Amino acid sequence: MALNRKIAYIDLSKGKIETRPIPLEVRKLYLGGRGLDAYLLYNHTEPNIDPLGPDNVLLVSAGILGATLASATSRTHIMAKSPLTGFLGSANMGGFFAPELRWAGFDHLVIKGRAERPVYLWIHNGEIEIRDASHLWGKSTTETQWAIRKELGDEDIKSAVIGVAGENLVRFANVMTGIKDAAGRTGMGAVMGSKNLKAIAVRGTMDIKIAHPVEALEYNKKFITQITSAKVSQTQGRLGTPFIWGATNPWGGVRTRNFQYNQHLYADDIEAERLDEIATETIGPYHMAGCFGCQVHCRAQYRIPSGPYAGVYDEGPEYTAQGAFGGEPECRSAITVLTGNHLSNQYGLDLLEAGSLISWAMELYEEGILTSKDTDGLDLRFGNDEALIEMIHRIANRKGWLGDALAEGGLRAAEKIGKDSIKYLIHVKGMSNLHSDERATPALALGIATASRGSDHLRSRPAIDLYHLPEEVLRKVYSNPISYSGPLSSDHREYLGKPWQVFWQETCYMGVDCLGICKYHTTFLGATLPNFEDWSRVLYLNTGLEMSPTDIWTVAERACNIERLYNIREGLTREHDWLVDRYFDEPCRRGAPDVIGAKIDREKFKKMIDEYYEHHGWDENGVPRPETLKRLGIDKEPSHLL
Amino acid sequence: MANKTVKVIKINADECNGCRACEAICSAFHATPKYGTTNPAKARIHVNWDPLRNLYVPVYGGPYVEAECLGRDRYVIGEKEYDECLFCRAVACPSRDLFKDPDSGLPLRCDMCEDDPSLKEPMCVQVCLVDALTYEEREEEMEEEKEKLDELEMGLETLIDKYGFDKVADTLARISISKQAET
Ligand code: SF4
Ligand code: SF4
Ligand code: SF4
Repeated sequence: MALNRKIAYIDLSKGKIETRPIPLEVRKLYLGGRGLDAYLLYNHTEPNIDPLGPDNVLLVSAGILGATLASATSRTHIMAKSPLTGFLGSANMGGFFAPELRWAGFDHLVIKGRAERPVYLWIHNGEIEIRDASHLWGKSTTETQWAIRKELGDEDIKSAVIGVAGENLVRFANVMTGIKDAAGRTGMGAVMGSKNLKAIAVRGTMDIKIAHPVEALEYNKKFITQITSAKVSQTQGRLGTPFIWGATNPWGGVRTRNFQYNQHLYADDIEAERLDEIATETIGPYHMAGCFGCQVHCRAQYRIPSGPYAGVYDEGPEYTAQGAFGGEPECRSAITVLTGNHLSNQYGLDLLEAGSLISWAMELYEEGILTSKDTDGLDLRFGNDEALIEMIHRIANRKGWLGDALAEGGLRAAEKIGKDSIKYLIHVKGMSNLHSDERATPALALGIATASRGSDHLRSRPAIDLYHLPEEVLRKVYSNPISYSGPLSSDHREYLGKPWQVFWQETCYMGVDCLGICKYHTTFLGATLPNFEDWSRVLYLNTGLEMSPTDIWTVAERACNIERLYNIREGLTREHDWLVDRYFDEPCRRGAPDVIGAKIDREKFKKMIDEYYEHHGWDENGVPRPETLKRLGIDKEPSHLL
Repeated sequence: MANKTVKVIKINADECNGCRACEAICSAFHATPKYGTTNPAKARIHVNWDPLRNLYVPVYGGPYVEAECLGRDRYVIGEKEYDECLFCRAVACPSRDLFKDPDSGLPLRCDMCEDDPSLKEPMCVQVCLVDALTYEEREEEMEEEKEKLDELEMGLETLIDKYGFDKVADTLARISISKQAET
């Protein structure tokens, strides 16, 4: 059955592999994916270990619904202690890896130690082999995957790999599968690199059993209709996530010149429609692809139309790349966005972090904090496309003083650069913010300030807050499956009631990450998309596990609390759940009337955090109260159930 | 003259985005119990993909073959050469694992989702929402079918042509006597 997939413990130092079943009681506590990974991280690492040392543990998993008859169950989750932040490291990717991992017999991999030489894992129908990867070292993420397919003689092998950035221990290197599917954030690729692990290759031909097949199929049809009829999914299927830019940039929600402005005035060439045009010209009318079993198909394909990389194939770019290589550095050219996206993918670099840090360095350069001596002569001004592209190369290869410094991540780089540099760094917990500007949206600001993996928009963002939905609609979404009678507001500038929305979304996204479903298939960009109630049914029909919507909510809450416990163990305090000063001190200078002049109010924001902690059952320092842990059954961690 | 319904799945490879929903559902449809498992390795449709060239080509399990073919052709698409095997519909060809049940080795041939009552559309077509796979039924007029010779008959006829009727009959009689003696 879908619940018989195993957990494998792989010790790369000793070359030892052990597989075990995952007991039903553990499933009921954490389901799978990110939830169970969080439990494993807490239980399998000692406090204060070096994230790039052999004691760190790399967790790779599929969600509990992976490869079943449910929709969009493509997601792979990766977790470890983050070399970027020193706190929880966690990243998620689409594609085809997780379902293949399940057909190969596994749900969770716990990878410990450090191999002496470069190796890769070959996982096939219940068997795991550690193989030499010396010949793959130095190869790009795409080359690596194709080389493995060729070597093992099977075109259908899927791999999760690192590129050169991961090998070079760039602290925000990612793990990739396919051309552009990236477990991007928190430097999971550096952890893989530190273990000398170049790739994990999987191929399986083992049945995934469906508990109630006919009903599962019927129910999923409803799901599919729900998703394909949502307007936002249709737009996304046509333009990919860049469509978001069309709403946020004119409105004034895109940070520009690092964090000086909140709107890119010269963005015509990097609009979704323009990118779509390029994809159409270079690939053809059918240029949208997608992940396993997904009806949205939001991944564009393109060739770089001109410039030094003319003709090169890649996929994307996402909304993130428009900001990282367009808005923040104030670059105007689509070629730059497409090239930056391509290089990041091939090097295996978190492009969000790369673009943000380079834009930060640009501001430092213009402020005179960095000089041309520091940049080895590179004219690192805003809007200098060539300098931006050159910096991507330098970071991935740790070339030059600045390239090497930035490869260490913002906080460490700020120490090296010194002076006032830290003041200009736009981060939370040492991780760079997305290019979105949250000064006019306290709810979104609270989300990034409190996200468990550091600044992040995919952990708890109530994106529908921007739609000004009537209060009844909000209440319908946010009072389920747990009733909520407190305030809710349709006004995105409001502080009142927003902490509940953030808390609710956080729990919802944790749920979806345990199930292994894509976030575009839940209450994220669309208010009408499925959540707890549907999941309860889908979970039962596909796996036989009987969990009510509130049971799933509790699982998600439990997992969020384990993540919190982990972060606190690694030194997180209330001060870390905070934004940089510019959010409070510098008002938005551009955009629509409801944005211009907006900034976050310190006192009100503090209250928001109090309220948010309260919803979680945490004390004023953000520490889970004993009764909260008891209610969730995690008052005696580590409990070593697995 | 009689009418015959011809079932056709039209494949528009341009539209295909390689999501593999068709593979998953085909394996589920043929599982016991029906829809009881997913396992694309048991599907009767296989999506060949080369994303670097935006090439996604669904191929159906077609005729059963016992031996691999002698000469191999090469296909050139978008300046890249592909092995013919990539697009070959042969089922159970010994040269590859495709269209062979990974557990039993039995051939996996597309049966157009034969079912009772019959489906409105084959399952793979139903799940392919981008219309890379579409279904058509065509009524075709047929010539009154000539009595069709089966393989054995055809073989015997060839032998008769070559050796004459008497010789073949004699030989057959002799073999049958000696076989009977053996048992
Ligand atoms: S919505 Fe996009 S990212 Fe999500 S599963 Fe579908 S194709 Fe992948
Ligand atoms: S379901 Fe359609 S789009 Fe998806 S792989 Fe099959 S043929 Fe291609
Ligand atoms: S028509 Fe039916 S049997 Fe044939 S490939 Fe499609 S789903 Fe499989």
